[in-house]
Amino acid sequence: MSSLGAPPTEFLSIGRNLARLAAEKPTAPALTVAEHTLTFGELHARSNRMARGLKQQGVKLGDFVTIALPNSLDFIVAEFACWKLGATPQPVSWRLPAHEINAIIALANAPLVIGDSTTLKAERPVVSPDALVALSSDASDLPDAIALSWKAPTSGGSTGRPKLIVAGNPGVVARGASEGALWRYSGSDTVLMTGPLYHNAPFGLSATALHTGAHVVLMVKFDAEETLRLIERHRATWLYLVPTMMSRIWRLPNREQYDVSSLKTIWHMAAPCPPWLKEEWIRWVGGETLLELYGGTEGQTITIIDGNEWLAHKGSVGKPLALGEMKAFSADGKMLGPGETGEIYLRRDPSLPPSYRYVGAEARTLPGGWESLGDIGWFDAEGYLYLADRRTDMILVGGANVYPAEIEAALDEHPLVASSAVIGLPHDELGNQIHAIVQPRPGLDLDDLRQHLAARLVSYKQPRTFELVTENVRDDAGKVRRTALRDERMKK
Amino acid sequence: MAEPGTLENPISIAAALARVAAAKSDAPAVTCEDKTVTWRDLHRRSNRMARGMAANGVKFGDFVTIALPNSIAFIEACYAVWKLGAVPQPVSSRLPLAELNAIVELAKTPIVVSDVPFACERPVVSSQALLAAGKDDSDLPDVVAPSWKAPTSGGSTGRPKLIVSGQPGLVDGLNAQFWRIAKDDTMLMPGPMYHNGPFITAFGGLQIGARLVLMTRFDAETTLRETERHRASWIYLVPTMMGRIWRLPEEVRAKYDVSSLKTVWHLAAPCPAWLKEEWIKWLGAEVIWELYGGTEGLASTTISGSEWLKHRGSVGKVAIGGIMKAFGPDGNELPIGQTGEIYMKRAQGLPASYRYVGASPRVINGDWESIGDIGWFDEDGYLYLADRRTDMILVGGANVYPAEIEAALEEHPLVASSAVIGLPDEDLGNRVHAIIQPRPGLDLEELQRHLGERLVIYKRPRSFELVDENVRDDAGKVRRTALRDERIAKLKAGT
Repeated sequence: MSSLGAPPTEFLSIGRNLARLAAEKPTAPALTVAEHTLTFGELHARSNRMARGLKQQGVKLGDFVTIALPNSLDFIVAEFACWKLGATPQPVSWRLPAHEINAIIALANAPLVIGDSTTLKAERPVVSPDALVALSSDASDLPDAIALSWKAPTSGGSTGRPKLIVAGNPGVVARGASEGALWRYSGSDTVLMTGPLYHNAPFGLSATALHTGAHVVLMVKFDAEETLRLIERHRATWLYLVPTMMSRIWRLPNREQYDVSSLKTIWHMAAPCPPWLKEEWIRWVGGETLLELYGGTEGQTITIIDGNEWLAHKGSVGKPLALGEMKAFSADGKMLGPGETGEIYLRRDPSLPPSYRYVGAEARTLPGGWESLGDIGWFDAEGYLYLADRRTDMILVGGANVYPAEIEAALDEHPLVASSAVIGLPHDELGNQIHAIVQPRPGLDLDDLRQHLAARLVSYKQPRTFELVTENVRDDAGKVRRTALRDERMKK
Repeated sequence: MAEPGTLENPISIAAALARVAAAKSDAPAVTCEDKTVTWRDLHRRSNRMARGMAANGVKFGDFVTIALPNSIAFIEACYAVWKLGAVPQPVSSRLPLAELNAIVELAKTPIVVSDVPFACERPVVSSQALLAAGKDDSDLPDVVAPSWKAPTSGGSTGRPKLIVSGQPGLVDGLNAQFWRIAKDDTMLMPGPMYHNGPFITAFGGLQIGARLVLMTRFDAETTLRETERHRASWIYLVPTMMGRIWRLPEEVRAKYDVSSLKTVWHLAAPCPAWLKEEWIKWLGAEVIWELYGGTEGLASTTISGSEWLKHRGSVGKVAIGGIMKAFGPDGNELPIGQTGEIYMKRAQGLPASYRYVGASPRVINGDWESIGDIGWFDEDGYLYLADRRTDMILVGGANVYPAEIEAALEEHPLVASSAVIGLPDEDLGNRVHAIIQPRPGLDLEELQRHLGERLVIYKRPRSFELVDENVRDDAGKVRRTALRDERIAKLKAGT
């Protein structure tokens, strides 16, 4: 019926959707980690029990619940348990230093943290998944509830203080419109998730895959050869990668020993992919299999490009989806035309509800609702976006966003650090490595400084290299000119 | 590449109202007769009313029975319920007490919202009292109701049931788009809001910021006057209303400018083909839209006027999300062109569209359900309805469908409304009996001649009964079972 508008979207709560899947295919595998598998029936029953456990511990509709677990069956069970109470899962790294996790819990006002209570110390109760499940033997369905937001990942942020990025989407699955179609998976797919669930894309993509009824295989930790082994073993059809992983897999000497012919879709995102590497992958797996996405956790809009399109627009990250706009702007705020390089700003169609809200920060928005992810680039005449560089106040390390201000704040907290600047230097596998330029006071000991940082920063945020200088690294206005500092080091 | 719209995030009904209130604060939101409420006031007053309801014990997940007539208070009360994550349970404001009590018992509602005090098994609270009990009108914590409505059925089984929607209290742009409502539209609603069709269309439009003009009761000329006065671009009708408007004297109908109408929907009952054709001629084929489906929302068909002209008499093709098939009495699916009972189910993988409280669905072969209609499909997939199964009259072994006889009766200019039922007959099993609301000057012999031109002999009514009142209710539905039961009781009593 072309003359009629689109059919109404059908929404059902994530909890009811899992109940539907558990009824339709109770014994089908939902989730596999190493040698352990949960069927849809088991995932539903265990998350019902854990939801009751959370309820007994005071979790209620509308709460954020911090999840600080490594990739595991119970990370996913905990997500569903939260959704079933109408609460919002708030994932963080399980290795966060107490300092950082406490700052996040305070923002989230989480009644508790789901984590390993023997290793994790925090200012709110830390309760292990097993302890929560043990609180209730009742695995029956709970009254239906819908979380106002389905996820609230964190970001270090350019201010150096953590913030929550609370998704605008509620805890529902949209049927009919079928989000699965966008990501190219359905109930018959086997999804291999290589990334950590506390990062936005692995969290979202693994959950959305489960909502469609796909089988999700989680890796506890990425390993190049293990990835190929798991693809072969599970006949995986769908794979998530970041360029660092692509590079490590590409460099494996015995890559061809594994049968990866089951793969129909491979997504890569989170960081720019070197064109030579992308080309090799397209040759290996085929242009229609390799998809790239560019966008932020805030989800205002995204660009998508498949391998064949990319070959015709080499180096592009794709065209923006119709629900928003992206444009290049000059430094003086003028919108630039095709071929002109500037900072990339994006905005969501103003008639749509916002895709996110921050807790703990204000969105930096220009008039007209334009926001920047800090990237520099240009558009060709057909509207394809090409990224030139990142504005240097964010460092991409193996697909993770690291904000220099956060590292500098931790450095400057040490009594013997007079001033500091943190920049990213090129790194073959990780894309960038973190380099700290420090003006010490007399008596600074680097081992002691490393210990100090380890107490404050998760490991991927800790500097790999240190450089001691005698002058203040900030100018008279207290600003640090990271671009200049980086350019000087690159020349050397 | 998939449709980009898949990343559009839905928001709660309360948040949607807050957004419209911020954008259109002083613009009129709802008008009912001479009263109008702005978007800001609708938002703030429903905030206050929500707090009043909370003070009266309404909490997340409750059903709240609303027994208000079409009014601004009805709209405010529904929004107040959603703002607490509760489920509006609308009923007629004129429901007999026994029926209301049965519904209230099913719904376990903490209160009944009614502006007319009456004795009930639950506290009856007026909209004014709820507003007075709400201490402030600031925004409440945002929440999503697990279901967005729980209307009662038309009552063909005799016992009331709740039809609880499977859809939560969420808004995206697509629902309004389905009903061809844009945010700049003015909707005119002559139907009762407690009925499912008026409820889902009027709120579907309000949720995106379309303006709503409510009528307290249907009147043919007033509908035209309100269309002109408010430049209404969208209207909801049922065939009875279409018939009455059509029969207004030509000069009365021509007096009003209805050129603002871009969409006319008709639902709820079969529309006689001649009437539909006249409306298409009057307003244009692209303006007239029809939907067929049950309150259960399992599946629906839609058809535009232009399509209808090519598939005369059809109610349209099945819309995405549902499946419909014709089945024979032996439970086998029927081929194209053969008439049988129409069964429906959800498309593969879609959530249940409803659940009953107080009844069980009529199910065959596992998951096919019937709402009691008889019909057939043509080779293009267009559905044609013959009648409701529960009202089929067996006359000497022949199947007679009342809707067909009623259509023939109502084609007569001096028949205001009609209902056809089967009454017991020793010889034939049943005989066809016509109940008619005449206009002045109706001559029965002339009517019989009129029918003789339209109906084969066994379909012609054997007896006629003239009544003063409309035989259809406000929603345009005819309750044949009730009419038949009354007549049979009288026959048995020998009156």
